[in-house]
Amino acid sequence: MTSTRGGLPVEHPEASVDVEERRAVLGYVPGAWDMFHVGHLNILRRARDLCDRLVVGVVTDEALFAAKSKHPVVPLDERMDVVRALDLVDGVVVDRSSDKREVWSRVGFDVLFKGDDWRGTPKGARLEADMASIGVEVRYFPYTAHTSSTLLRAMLADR
Amino acid sequence: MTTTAYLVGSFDLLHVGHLDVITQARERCQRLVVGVVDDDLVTRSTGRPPVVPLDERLALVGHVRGVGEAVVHTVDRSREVGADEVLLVAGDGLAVLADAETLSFRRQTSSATLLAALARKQDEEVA
Repeated sequence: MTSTRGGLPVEHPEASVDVEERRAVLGYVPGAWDMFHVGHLNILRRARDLCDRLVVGVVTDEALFAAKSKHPVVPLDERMDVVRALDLVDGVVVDRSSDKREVWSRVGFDVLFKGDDWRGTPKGARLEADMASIGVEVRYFPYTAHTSSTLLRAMLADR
Repeated sequence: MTTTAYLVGSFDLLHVGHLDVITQARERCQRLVVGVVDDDLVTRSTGRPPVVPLDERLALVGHVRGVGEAVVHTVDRSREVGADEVLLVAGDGLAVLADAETLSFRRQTSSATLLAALARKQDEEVA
């Protein structure tokens, strides 16, 4: 007797795939992760809930300055070590380009998480198009980390 | 029998120094419980309030690999969690507890900004 899936013989092109056999979803979330705080943690928690493995990209000092004209308070190697130490994180990579196809060529993620300040902007549109061209989904989160980092910076400057 | 260590510290502005003492503590036990010092005790111990409030410090420490549980530090906590030894993070200005060993940072953040924000106002430890 032929085995079936979803009522169709296994060799039928439209046979549905068992849920257990779907590939693990690899998520990717880039950021500066400077002065790591609870806003960052919440982003990682949300991302981790939406994928099976989470790789975190840590943006270089140079890339951060190029993108936001800001120097991080904490150097790259320390920012990576803090992120790497968290139980929500399965892998950490350096992210050196605003073109996320570069890091994708190294990591091969299925979904990229981004703050929703980019949604509906030309940058967001470019990112979505770039990711669509390689079959990567973009998922937006409320962008709260920025507020916390700005506040922290101000507080540290006053101490 | 599972050995339990109880590590006490403020863990303000979580950085690689904190990760190092957690690693050191983890090397000495099978189960690590971290007691995070509340805002008032940080202020009394260091002469200035923490930058980051207690609930956030707890949440962050609780997610560090190797930490079994992060709790608010109290004088009874080490006994409550069944600790076999009590460890203190150096530089937090906490009174020396009986049979408590201090763990120094083998590695420290190189960020001048973080270090300045975390500098204590007094030189001597406050009871």
